[in-house]
Amino acid sequence: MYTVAMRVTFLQQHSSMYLRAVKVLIGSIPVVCLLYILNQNAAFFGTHRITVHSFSQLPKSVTFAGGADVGVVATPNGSVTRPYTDQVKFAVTLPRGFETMTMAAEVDADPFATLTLSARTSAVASQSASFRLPTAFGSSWRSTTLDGGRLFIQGHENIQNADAFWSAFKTFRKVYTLSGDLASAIPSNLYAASADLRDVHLASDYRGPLIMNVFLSNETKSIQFSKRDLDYTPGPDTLHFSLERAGNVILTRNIEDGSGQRQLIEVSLPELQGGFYTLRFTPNNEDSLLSDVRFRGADVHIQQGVFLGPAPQAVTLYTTCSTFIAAAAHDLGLQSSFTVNGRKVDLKAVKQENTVRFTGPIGTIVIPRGDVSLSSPCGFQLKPEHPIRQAFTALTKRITPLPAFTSGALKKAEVVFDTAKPVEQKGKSGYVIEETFDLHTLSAKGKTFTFALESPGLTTRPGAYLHITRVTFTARRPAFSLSDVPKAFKAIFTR
Amino acid sequence: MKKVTFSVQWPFTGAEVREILSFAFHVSLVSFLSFSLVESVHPGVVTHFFNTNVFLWFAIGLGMLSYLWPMVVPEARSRLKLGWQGYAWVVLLTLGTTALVWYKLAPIGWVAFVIAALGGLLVIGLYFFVTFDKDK
Repeated sequence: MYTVAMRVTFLQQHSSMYLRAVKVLIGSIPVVCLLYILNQNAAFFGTHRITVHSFSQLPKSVTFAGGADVGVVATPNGSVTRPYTDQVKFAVTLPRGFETMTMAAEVDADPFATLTLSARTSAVASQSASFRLPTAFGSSWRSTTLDGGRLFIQGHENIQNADAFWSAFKTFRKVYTLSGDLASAIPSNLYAASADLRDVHLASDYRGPLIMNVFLSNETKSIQFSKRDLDYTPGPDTLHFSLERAGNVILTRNIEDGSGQRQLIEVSLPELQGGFYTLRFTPNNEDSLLSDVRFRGADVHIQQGVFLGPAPQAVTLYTTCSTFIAAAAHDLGLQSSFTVNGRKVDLKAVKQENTVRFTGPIGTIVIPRGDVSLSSPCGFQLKPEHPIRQAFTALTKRITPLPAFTSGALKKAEVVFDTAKPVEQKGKSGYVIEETFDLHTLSAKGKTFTFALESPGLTTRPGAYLHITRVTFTARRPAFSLSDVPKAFKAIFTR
Repeated sequence: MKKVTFSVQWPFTGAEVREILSFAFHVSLVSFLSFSLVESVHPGVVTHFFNTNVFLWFAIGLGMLSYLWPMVVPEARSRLKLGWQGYAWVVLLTLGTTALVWYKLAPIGWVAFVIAALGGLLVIGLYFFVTFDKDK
């Protein structure tokens, strides 16, 4: 019969055993910690792991400023918030005996980033794996393709096309764009009937690069221009033309040397959709003369500046800046004065830097003769007003441009414009990408390996960013093998 | 029908709980000091992979618990008698303490030798204090 007294006796007899067990348990805790630390340092269990949390506490490392944000790229409106780079490299010198290296990175990237983990050695051998993060927008968002880019809409099931979107535009509370180039997000039908469209004719001769932002409508069926070789210097010259929209090249033409004869070029655009485009004329030298540019459009805006040809003809330009820079091509005496906003400006008086300054917006500049280059921070317009852009600005007051896409912005947004170069998938924040590299395959055991995390286009894609939260390297070799710990480990942020 | 019940009997007395707490406190403290010692000799060997402050937090918490635990009147200890192992342990501790103090203070010059020697004497003094305590 089992009594209470027996149970008490049993416990008293075994109390010391329990006590010893608890003491052994407690005493084993620091032993386990010690083994863990030893393994991390000596890898006698076959695994050596290095975790990079902050990029400022790398063991045996060279640290670089800038933290873990390696890519925040400039937007078209010029804002750059942090230093950026396409690539972050980690150089690891391993002793012989290690068989694999697993690189895992916890990252947050913009929805259009493609991430590549790669391993290289000093030899040619390399191994890489590319990742594209899953969608950041989730199932409640729908994508609609506009001619200016893509549109992501939340909670409006009836919007099937651009017309429906614009008719419902005023109902949206928060509209964001991933790009600063708002103009390229305008559907073409918005201005189809605009009275401001006209036949534009740039009759002047241009010797240098000419870059124009212009609104082209559905009625624009072609762009015409002529090229001539001045033959000031011997040798052939060429003129490169490209039509771009929202950073995407629509078409290009390369016009070869015509042996001094004027060539008429017509670029046919039979199915052009209306919208804002960039016309880019790039000669290979100043011998190539561009003239008689014709198209049907509106709101012509010349970026940077113009280099007028030698023909003595008057040109009228408009700028909203208070300064411009003028320089004569050959002889200052050839082009000594301008009429600026009704006031005559003698270039000889300002020739030190050739910078002409006014207290307010300059407005009209009349250039009586050629062979002079003009540049202005604001660029130049052919007309004082930009009615289409003004109308667009009024319409898009509700749109907030974002230099980088964030999850916080996504929660507030109902509509997101993406005028960046479209890719097939979108990203999501807080993902771990991982790849195991075979050190045998790399065939350079015992040497320095370079492991890199790259995001192609990070420095050029509007709104692109890459934030690395943590990087873990795990080197493995056969358990209990006699091998030293990695000799060196350093992170290198490269521009 | 016979009713079968199960119960868990707490196996430790108050004195044993206090002993466990005290033991855990000592383990935590010694672990913290040991890892800190290794870290001071080879910076980064421990702290790059393990936060030694965990042991310090446990040492503080367990020390407070073992102090606050209801006092149990201990049985009178027998007079401490050291065998040759005890003397060897004392010598080892003395040498270790002297070497450690000298290692940490070496940059300050010859004074480090003096302070290290005083540290060794302190350990020996503690030995005498414990061994020949008249109150026991």
